[in-house]
Amino acid sequence: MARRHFSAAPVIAAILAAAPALAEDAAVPACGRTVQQIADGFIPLFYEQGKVREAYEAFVAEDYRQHNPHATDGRDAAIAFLEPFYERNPGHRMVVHRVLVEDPYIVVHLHGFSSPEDRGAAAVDILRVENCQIVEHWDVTQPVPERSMNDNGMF
Amino acid sequence: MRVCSAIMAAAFFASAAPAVANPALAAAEQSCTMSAREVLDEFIPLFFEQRNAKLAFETWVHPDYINHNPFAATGRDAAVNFLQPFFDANPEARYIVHRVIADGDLVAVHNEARFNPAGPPSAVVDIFRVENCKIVEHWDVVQQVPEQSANQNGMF
Repeated sequence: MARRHFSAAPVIAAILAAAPALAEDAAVPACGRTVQQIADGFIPLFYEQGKVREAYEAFVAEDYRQHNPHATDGRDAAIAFLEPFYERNPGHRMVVHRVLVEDPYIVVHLHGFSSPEDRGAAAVDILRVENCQIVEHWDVTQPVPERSMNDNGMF
Repeated sequence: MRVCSAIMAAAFFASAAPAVANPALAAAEQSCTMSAREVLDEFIPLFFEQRNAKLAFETWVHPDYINHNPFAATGRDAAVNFLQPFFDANPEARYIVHRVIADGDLVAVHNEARFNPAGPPSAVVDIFRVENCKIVEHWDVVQQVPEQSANQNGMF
């Protein structure tokens, strides 16, 4: 009896100590990562380092739903579209200007260009995350015009 | 004398305070407690749904609004002077808001602009930055929806 009492005490203490931490982590889904953590993993790998296959295989669902009208559904189709694009355009860069994260969405406002002389295009990607994977993608792209009515730039 | 002038000043400010018809704005101006999403929750119905550019901008947009749309001059008045005549001349023009995503002081509005009922719509993402309960900055990206798509999902 006494032994049980002594062995239970540290268990109770551990539960009490863990309780605030459990409450703080309540937003972490069962799959283990928040949407912010997915954004923090995917954005450097894909947009900044251009590691298409590594980024997609780590973070994108196989049956990824694609809304870009020039691409077909699925992760493999995205990789098959993007990898040759990077091979043809080794100077292509994406500069991420702002990111918004609100579960289940990630919004990435970026500037894509193929050389320092290229005005390039402004784009916004919207990614939807489910079970720690990017499952859906929308985007809007607009070439940066030569002239602007204001001095603020597009970013 | 000092007391007198203070009372006069108070009376002057009280009488100079504009009559504010919008209770949400009145509350916001007393102490700015609205989040960026709450500001957009007021702006979106006025602008995107009712297309009342003048009321939406004069209520919720700062006069020194920084506009990054390359086809618009910067500032609130420039936006109203461009948008309101456009909506007045094009009563068929519509926006359909598909999703609103907020994070801190930024709010993204993914919308479909149908300016000409006979023509193709455009896909748009507007990003607004809010400071002290006013929209102070705006970026957008606009792309015409192509006639054909490689997938069946639409752009929204």
